Amino acid sequence: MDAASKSGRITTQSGPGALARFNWPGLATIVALIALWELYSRTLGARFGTIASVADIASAFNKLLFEGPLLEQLIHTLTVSIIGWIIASVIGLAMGAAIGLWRPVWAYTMASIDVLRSIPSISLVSIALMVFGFSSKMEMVIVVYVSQWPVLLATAGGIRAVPGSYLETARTVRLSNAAMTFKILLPGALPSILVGLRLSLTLAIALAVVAEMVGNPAGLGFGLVFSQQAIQPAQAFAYLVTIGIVGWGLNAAFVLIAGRLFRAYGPAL
Amino acid sequence: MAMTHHDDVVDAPRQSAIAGKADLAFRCRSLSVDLGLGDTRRRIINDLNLELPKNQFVCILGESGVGKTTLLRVFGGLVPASEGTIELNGQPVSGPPSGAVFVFQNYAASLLPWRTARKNVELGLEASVGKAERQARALEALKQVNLSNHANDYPRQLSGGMQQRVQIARALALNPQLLLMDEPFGALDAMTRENLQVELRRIQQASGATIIFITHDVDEAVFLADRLIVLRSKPANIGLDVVSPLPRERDQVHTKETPAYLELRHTIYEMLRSRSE
Amino acid sequence: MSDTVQQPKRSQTVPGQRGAAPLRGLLPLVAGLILWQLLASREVPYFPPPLDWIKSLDALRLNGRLWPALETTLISFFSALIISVVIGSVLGILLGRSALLDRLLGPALEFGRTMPAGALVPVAVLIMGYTDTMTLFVVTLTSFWPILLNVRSAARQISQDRLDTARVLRLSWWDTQRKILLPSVLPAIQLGTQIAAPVVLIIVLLVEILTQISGIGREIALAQSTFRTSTVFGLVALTGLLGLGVNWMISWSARLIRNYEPAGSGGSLS
Repeated sequence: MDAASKSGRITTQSGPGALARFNWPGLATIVALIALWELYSRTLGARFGTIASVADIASAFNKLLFEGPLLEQLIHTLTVSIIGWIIASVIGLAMGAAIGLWRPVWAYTMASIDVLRSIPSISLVSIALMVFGFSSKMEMVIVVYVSQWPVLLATAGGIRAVPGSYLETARTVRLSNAAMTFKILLPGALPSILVGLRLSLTLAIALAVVAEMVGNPAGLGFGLVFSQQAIQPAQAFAYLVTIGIVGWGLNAAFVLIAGRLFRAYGPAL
Repeated sequence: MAMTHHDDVVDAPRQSAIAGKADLAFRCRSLSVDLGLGDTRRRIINDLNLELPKNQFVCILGESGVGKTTLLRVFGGLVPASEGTIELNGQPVSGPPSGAVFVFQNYAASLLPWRTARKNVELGLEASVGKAERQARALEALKQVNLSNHANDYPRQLSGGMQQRVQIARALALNPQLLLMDEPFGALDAMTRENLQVELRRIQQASGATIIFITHDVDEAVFLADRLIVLRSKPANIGLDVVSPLPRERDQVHTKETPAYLELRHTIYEMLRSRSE
Repeated sequence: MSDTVQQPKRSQTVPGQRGAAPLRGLLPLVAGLILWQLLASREVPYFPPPLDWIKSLDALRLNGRLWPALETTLISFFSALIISVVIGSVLGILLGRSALLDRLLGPALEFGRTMPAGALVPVAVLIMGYTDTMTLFVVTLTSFWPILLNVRSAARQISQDRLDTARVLRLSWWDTQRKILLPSVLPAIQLGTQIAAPVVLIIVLLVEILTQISGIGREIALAQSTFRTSTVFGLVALTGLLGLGVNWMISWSARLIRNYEPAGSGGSLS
């Protein structure tokens, strides 16, 4: 139902007329904004000394990629985010399913979960820093802990939100409990679960970057903070753009893959 | 029974011809409406002529998709005419005219859920009328639709029929000369609809306004109308323009058993059926 | 795809109404804390018992550091939240009502929306320095997205009949915005704010941790770098309470706007 993202996509479905439907004005706007930035950085922005021009950013990016640590850092961040996300999803799905399927479990855990997930994730980074030190272990723990909440909540919420009419249908055709779970509840919860997975992925990347900024001296987040402290604006922007592309790219990949795999579930994505 | 078939441009029934221009509430001439963009642009309404006097309940009938709603929206200034002219009391219509009010079928969308019934009725008056007078007029309008006891209720606390009455009250509060109603009872159950039909006739006679009422329900049209217009389709034009022989006082049971009612109903059905063959 | 579809039913997000988690769900948490208190020992410095946390917080209070820090954080939080709501709502309405603007700005906004939260902070510090303006700027830019998306969606979906009602009643442009458009998107504003508020809190704390100028974040960073573990835990628990408070406050506001939800009862009473 939600068409809110359609305008954000650069491309629509493939096929005849796709070229005409491609959001040319949108692309033009991005190009215009980049050009504006270039202009600004060379004129009014020049006096700040900390606004790098697009050309400078591009060359800093090149240098970092081919002569510097950008590639390793990129791989590090990607690896931690994706693996952390996968682990978090499994945990979240399992716990969420338990909470969604059995009311006593829900009744005796939900309030605690509400409290735990209200703790701002950044505060937890500080605790993890103390306990695990400046390491990739710290980063992974944070990513997993924080990213599993959306999946847990979406799974539990999705199962509990399955319409009563579906359940009555199941009872009418005398489905066993197992059959009801796998044929009705889980598929019924799937749209919600997919949204939770996507949010979780977004969080995983964000938390990985933050953990790298504040603790683990590895990855894109570290590169970003390092450039900032060394007062290297072109480098800092290069890292920012890279991080942005990672965020956008993983998001787009998820939408594409999940959309294809679960097309039958409609435009819930 | 006076009947006029419109195969080409012909004058409206005798009534308005005798009455003369001063009594004309509404008139449109050679009205044509095209909708759509580029290759999908089509003529929806073609060369339509209509003259309506004051104080008349007019029903426009037609099958779904024939263009009734479009026509009403053009009358109400919501859609511009491509060709031809529309006049209300001698003034050309471009944009919603003062003196005419539109009543929507989707009352839930048209009423504001965060305002009470009374405040909803006041909405159209807020720009032009002071607080005390506004309130008085709103309460008077609610009284006309028998909702005085619910003035401070919110739409969600009211049934569908009541919500629609609030919308009608909102229209009445503006003292309109022309009331344009787009299948206003279409979303309501049969019993509510029948009660509201009776009430609407009473309201029309009490206020003296002209009502143009769109419907696809033949029984509803025959029951309500002083004058019946049937639209024929693609592109739409007037197929039949009949003055109703039914008496002013009507009742859901007895009127529907009279020969005049049955005959008129029969004629309409014949016309509609012949169109689709 | 957005944060707007598949919202849990209202009853699942508003505490105190049908479907809210029962209080006995707090048992695991309370039991955990009690167990922690009993089992923690001095030899394992990483996990000080909960009562120590309270002592450390009290020490901070006596030092005169607790309340000023809390005040700074709360002021930053509320200012940034209000600005996020205003900017998100205005932009959301503009984008929702103008198909052209939406098409033009869509891809650019998509990039901004998916930017990992927090990445902007170092760059903002670099450009704008260690100022309050910088904090407001970066927090708003990071967290107004849910509000924008929700409001854009709602503004797009306003029934044409409702908009035509405004035309039919001949309301002025300003009256239409004020009396019809804005109230119609108010539920979306509330929902977006509910999603955005925790993000605002997180980024405010992040800025405070990175810049270490003032606020609770600074206290946490200081305590963490000097290994005062019970202070860190105490402060983290404090931020947890802040988070809870914020969440409750905003979901309670859902009750206030109950009247703005569309009337779904058409015909249900007849």
